[in-house]
Amino acid sequence: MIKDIVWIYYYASLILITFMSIYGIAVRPNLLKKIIMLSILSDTANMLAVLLGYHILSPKPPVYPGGTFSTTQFPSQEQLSTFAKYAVDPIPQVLVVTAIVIGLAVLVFLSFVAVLIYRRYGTLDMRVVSKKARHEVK
Amino acid sequence: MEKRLICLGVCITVTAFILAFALIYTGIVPLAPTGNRPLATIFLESTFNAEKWWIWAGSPEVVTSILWDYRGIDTVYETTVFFLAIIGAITVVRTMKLLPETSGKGRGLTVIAKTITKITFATIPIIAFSIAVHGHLTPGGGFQAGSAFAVAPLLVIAALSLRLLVERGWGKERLLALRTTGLILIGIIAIIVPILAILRHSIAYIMQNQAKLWAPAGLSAVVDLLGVKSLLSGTLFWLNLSEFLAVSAGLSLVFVLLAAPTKNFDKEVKTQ
Amino acid sequence: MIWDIVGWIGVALIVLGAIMDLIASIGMHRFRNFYLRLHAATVGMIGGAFYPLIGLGLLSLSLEYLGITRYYIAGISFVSALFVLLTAPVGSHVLARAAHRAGIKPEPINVDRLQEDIGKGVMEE
Repeated sequence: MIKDIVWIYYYASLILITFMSIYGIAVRPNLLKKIIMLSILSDTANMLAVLLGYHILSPKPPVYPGGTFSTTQFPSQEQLSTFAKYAVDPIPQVLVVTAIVIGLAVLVFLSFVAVLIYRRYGTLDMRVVSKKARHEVK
Repeated sequence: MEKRLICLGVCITVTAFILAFALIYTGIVPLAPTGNRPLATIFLESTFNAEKWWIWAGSPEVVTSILWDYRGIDTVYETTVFFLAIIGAITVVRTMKLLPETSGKGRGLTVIAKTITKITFATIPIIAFSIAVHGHLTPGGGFQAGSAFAVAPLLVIAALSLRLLVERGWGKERLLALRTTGLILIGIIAIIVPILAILRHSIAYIMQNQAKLWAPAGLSAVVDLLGVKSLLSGTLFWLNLSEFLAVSAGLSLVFVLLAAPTKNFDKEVKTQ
Repeated sequence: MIWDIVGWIGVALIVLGAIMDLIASIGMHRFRNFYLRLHAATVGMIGGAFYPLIGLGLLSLSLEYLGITRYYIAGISFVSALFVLLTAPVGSHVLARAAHRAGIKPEPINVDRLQEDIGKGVMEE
């Protein structure tokens, strides 16, 4: 019962942070705050992916059998199957590493666009920027 | 106004809890899972399993072996996307010349901040290099090491000055050249096993690491390095090093460009 | 036996760090102006990062099933704790100086040495 409540709390808090970041992207007029909220949203999605691969089975953390820099001994089949039973799912973590790099690329590009907008219009308030841009077109 | 905001917060919280309930009790997401999925078990058992040599990756670190071996081409394209973002960033500031004379006064912060920054700056590259070199053994790898390394120029920009960094040769062109070198090295490592296979009259795939049943070429996982038998995991070690070079140079370039003063090209943007 | 005690000291330090973090976040929320909030932030940095890292090192030293890995974990924890100890005061020092230069004055104020130094010309600006 306690376990159920804890897991519902995990998912509910992630969904709550998602809602809050979407609110920030939609409502806040400052472009910098929009970018911060976007990065929080992508981090929450990554967190959800990692949580999907997570489980607690062993009371102690699993350590990979073998694997130092000068090892030539490979682990036995029993050690490997024990490790595979207790370790968490690696696939969501791999996807998250990829997603973090892509998110960083998006963040870099968005920050440079924000710099450009600030140099051109002198503000990051999107209401003012859109008014000025409309004026320029006319 | 206050009452409306509180009402909104309560509504959002209640909705989040209801959604979490719905997600769990319709079985879309697992509630306290009691074991791994079959695919995860296959990956966990076979990446360092010398008896299943036809699907192993030769590395005890499962995440790195999936990232650079089983899904290698995906990671190469991901690195390319990051490179494209940096190219886009350079395009935005393409008219700016980054010279020591035009990059700020170079005064920096107080003596306290400068001293501690020097101590920290000496240790960051060592730690980053250690993360990159152990990327195929412990959690970490090229991207994480590059991100850790890029903190060093950021600290120098914040505490000492951008001018010092530019004077010491961390200019725009050199960092971009290093970034490109890293990407080219990744490309070379991707095709090195097929080249070896062509020389031996057999077949191999691009981004292949260990030998497969139907493609018996590959770099060996354990290499004799200066008389010590070292576990290098075939291409994974070299891929991590190249990615470390590429990401550290790219992120340093981004920080240098973001910190550059813009007096000399503000007018140009306004008149465009 | 001795390692059991060391492990429990580590757990106690981690719990202390969590309590310190809670206190720091309450302080960040409730204090009036920037300098008072900076005080709370420093409590969070030293109490919420330095103590748990030391505790983690001690705890990992006491767990014998980790094998040789426990020395790696302990070493990394102690070195990180040392760096947090070095950098946290510098961070708050730089923040306070920047706020002072930006014109934010400490509100319940008895003496402002930095302003006096600037007036004498000891420090620039």
